[in-house]
Amino acid sequence: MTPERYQEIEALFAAARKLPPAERSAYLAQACGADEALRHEVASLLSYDDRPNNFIDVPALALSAEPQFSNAGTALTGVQVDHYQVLTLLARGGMGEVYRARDTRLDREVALKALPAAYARDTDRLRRFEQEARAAGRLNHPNVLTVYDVGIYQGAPYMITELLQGHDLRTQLQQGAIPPQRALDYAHQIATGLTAAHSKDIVHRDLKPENIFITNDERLKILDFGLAKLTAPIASRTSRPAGEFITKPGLIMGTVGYMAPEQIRGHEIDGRTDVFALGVILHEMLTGTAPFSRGSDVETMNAILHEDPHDVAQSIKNFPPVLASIVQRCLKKDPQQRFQSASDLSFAIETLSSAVPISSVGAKTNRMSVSKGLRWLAVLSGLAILAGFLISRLDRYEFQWRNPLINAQFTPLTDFPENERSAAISRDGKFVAFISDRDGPLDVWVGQIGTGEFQNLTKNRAPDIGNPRVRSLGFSPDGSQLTFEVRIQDRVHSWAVSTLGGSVKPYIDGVELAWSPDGTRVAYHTDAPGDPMFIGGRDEKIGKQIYAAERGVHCHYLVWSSDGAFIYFVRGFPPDEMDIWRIKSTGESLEQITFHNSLVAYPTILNERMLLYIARGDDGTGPWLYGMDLEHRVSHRISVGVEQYTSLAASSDSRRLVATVANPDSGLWRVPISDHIVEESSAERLVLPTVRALAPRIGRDYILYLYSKGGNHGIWKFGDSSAIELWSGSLGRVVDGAAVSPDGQRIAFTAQRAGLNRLYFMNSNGTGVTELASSLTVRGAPAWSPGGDWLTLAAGQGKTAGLFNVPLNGGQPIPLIEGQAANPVWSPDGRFVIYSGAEVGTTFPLKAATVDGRPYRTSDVVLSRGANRFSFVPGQGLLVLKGDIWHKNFWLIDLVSGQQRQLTNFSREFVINDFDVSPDGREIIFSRVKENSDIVLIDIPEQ
Amino acid sequence: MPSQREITEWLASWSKGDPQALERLTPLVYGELHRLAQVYMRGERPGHALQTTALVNEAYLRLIDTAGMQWQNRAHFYALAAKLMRHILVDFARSRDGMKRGGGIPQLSLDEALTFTEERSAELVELDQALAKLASLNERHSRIVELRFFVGLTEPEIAELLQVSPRTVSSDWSLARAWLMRELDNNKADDS
Repeated sequence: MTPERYQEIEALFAAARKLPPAERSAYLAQACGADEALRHEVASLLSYDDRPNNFIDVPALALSAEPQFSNAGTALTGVQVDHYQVLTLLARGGMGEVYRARDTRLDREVALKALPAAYARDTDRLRRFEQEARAAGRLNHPNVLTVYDVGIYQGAPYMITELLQGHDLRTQLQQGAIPPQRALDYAHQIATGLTAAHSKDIVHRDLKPENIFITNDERLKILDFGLAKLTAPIASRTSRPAGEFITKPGLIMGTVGYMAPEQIRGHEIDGRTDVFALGVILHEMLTGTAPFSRGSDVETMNAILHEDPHDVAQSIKNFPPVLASIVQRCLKKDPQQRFQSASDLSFAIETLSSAVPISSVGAKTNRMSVSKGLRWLAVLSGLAILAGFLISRLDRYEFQWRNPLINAQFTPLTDFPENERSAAISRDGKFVAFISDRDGPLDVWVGQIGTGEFQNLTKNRAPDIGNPRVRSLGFSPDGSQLTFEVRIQDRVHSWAVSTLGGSVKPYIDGVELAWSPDGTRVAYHTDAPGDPMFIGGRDEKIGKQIYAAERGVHCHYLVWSSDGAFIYFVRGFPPDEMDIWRIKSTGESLEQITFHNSLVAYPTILNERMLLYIARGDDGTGPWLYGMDLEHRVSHRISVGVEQYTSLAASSDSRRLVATVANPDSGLWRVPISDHIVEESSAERLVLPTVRALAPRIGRDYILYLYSKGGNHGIWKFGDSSAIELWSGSLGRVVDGAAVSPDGQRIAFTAQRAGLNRLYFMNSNGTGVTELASSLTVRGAPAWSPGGDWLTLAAGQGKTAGLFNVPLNGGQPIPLIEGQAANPVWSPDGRFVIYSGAEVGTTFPLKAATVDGRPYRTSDVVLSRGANRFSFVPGQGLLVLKGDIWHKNFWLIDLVSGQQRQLTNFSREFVINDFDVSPDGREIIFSRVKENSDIVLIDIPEQ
Repeated sequence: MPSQREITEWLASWSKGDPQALERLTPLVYGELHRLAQVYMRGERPGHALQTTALVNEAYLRLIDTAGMQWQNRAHFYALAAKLMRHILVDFARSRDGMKRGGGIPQLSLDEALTFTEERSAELVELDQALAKLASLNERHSRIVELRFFVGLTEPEIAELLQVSPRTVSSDWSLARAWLMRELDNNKADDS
């Protein structure tokens, strides 16, 4: 064929294709005339055109992802397998596919694991697998997956097991190392499960993080006993020289990094083989890397056979030596030198957990249980890690930099199940105070360090105490009084209470009191626009204003330099566009000190050269502890590990610091919208494939949410029991929730790239990512117009700030509202857009405007800080978050009548941070965070 | 590794017709796509759908400074990426196919099971050959197939890149598709 011929064909093909099929042949006969070959050619191509579902219709890489055995027809959704009705696919992995299924005889939900048909060929092996799986399943041990049934369906074996909710240990490890206390707890649970199995002579043989499941209530389950026997290559069952074996890497299936030496050599295996694997897993949990992991399977196996494992105690300085020796002993090459049984190992872990010496000052130390001991151990070792890290890394990198916490001793001070926040320390370092909901409402608590006693000072006698985004609590210079922030009718004030107890009383109409080093002057700010900053004398009621930022900009966390010449403070747009600045106490020389442009909080002056503070990492992780030598002005992260820092304060001699440390857990929940107030029991947690999730948005048949594997938040799409990452946080941290277009086909979102918030949209499958309106400085997430052809968002352009409409076709942004406006949401009928107006104190009003930017009249609604998300419930009104500044519930507001109705009364443990309403208006999907915070004391020895 | 700005400049010069810029660009883009493809195929991003579009987008965002990028340059990048993706995927398929024919490995390892099935590998290699033939008949038609099949772009996206109407892309695609299907069928008939 020639290009010219092809061209001829093209014209005829296109013309004929437009005709109804019945008329085509007549048309071709006429158009081709005598050229019979041409007619035949076009007719044959048209016949191919009519064939649907060719492989080239689907992009190549999407096709390649299909697992091999789906060819054998094991895509089982909707199929009846014996008496199991298969419902949905839960997971798809190397060993097969796992489905949610219903046992129609017993009428219960189960998990069905379908194995590749190839494994059924060896009937002898299949029978042994069946025996063993049943035996292990009958153990009925809480740490072993219960197997109900084993069968063969259309030539492929399957297993019926209990249905679990949670994630596997591999998923957990992708977040990095696990804090020692949890790692030990996990190892203990695995060892307990193995003990039960070994007692029945059942060896797992293939223990690895993929085979260990963590349920939502932190119960570990060992999966797939007996499966290794079914799937292991023939080679490992017969004795053969290692050399020959490793020249045929194709024979080895799965991960080799967890095999014991005797397994690689093909020698006899027993329970001690599983002990070795558990040692590898424990090492990996503690350090984040498997001890023998090398570039290839061959090298890995060589390392297992011949190399000593990396010493945990060496990679983590000040690591408890006992724990390190437990790991070492599991990893001995000779089974004789290992723990001789899983029960020995389990005993060793228990002993360690209760024997670690702790210099405690906490409240309940005398009744410390094993689990508490573990928890304390974690904090201690985490801090040891920090110190070690600093010595080995930072000092080497920068000659001048000396980590001030290098030899510091870290002591956990509280271990309440409730949260402790906003920790403060008296100037003499003898008392700590914090805000806690230990008695129900938020109160100010104080305790003398070393006594372990804490006293509730305010006893629910002060209104709305504290604020998560400011330093809410502080001691007076002489330590006799505590001043704290309260909120009355949406204005903030400082109240005071004696550290000995007694009455609570108003103190000053300003907040974040900072006393000068000599104790004669106090700096504070008010809640007027720009957070104007004042300095007053000890007994003056009204100070002199030294500074106010622009309207909309906030100034928090005031603190004096050690010579009393400067006020350091955090300035910017809360919560995550902040940095530390300083200004002379005379009001001159405003100067920016840090350059994070993220969450920055709690500047704490250690001495004339050293500033400590809390900030998120550049990759969005944290918040962590940072330090800066004020002469060199380079920020250094000084905390490592997973604990997040949420507050920080220092005694006047800077020898003692107090911090709050959190271990937050965030997830998605659902609750019905009902005609009465529903309680905590009506909230149901969604089971997601990722360990955390934030900012849900409901699409047609999917939910979008934000999640990060330790770094920046990306956009994930959850549907049909699995989740895929549509936008990776490595391309840019996603700011706020993504917005789904009205037809569900497109997703708009804001992501931070190269320090700038940019607006993007893409198809709902993650393709066609397009940047829009690059001239705008975007603030927050966009909202779709009701027609789906443009986006509304809060942004700045040059000197103009406000709401803009951005057409999807790439046209110029059009200003809609000028002035302070954020969080736009269009009404379902498209008649008006609702948005937040300028903040006053800790509140902001909702405003509304028509399509052409004119004010639209609704009932007055004022919301408090943290309630930035609102959404329409079709036909019912606007769903908002209302409550105190720490804890909010769902309320429904009728924008016409102004009537408000509370929908939920949830537990105070959680903070709701985002939500979406289902299109039918019957359900809320929301994300909330449980902070799990405690107070840690940091003692710095004399240098 | 050259900076994002340098790479972006090369792309711009190539778009203006500088062949040397293409020589510099090709190994970089190839390397990045190949690396990402392996990451995706090894399942190192569990739960991530294997989408070439995501992969090419990721490479684009990694390599190119997108601020102020002209659509012409973007179109050139995607055209280059489509060609390279085709090479990468067909190479994967060939090596997969080769192993099967060589009989070296008795059973599929799990990694392989998750990448290419035997049938798919053969189809990809044959499609690659048929596509070469199609390119000699109509260059644009083969490019549309590359962008659609190997990169996974939608027809409106292809139309934007090639600066033709979506209707043209749609009608070009239907003929290219029919032609390729028939070509692959004929090959099968020849084999048997």
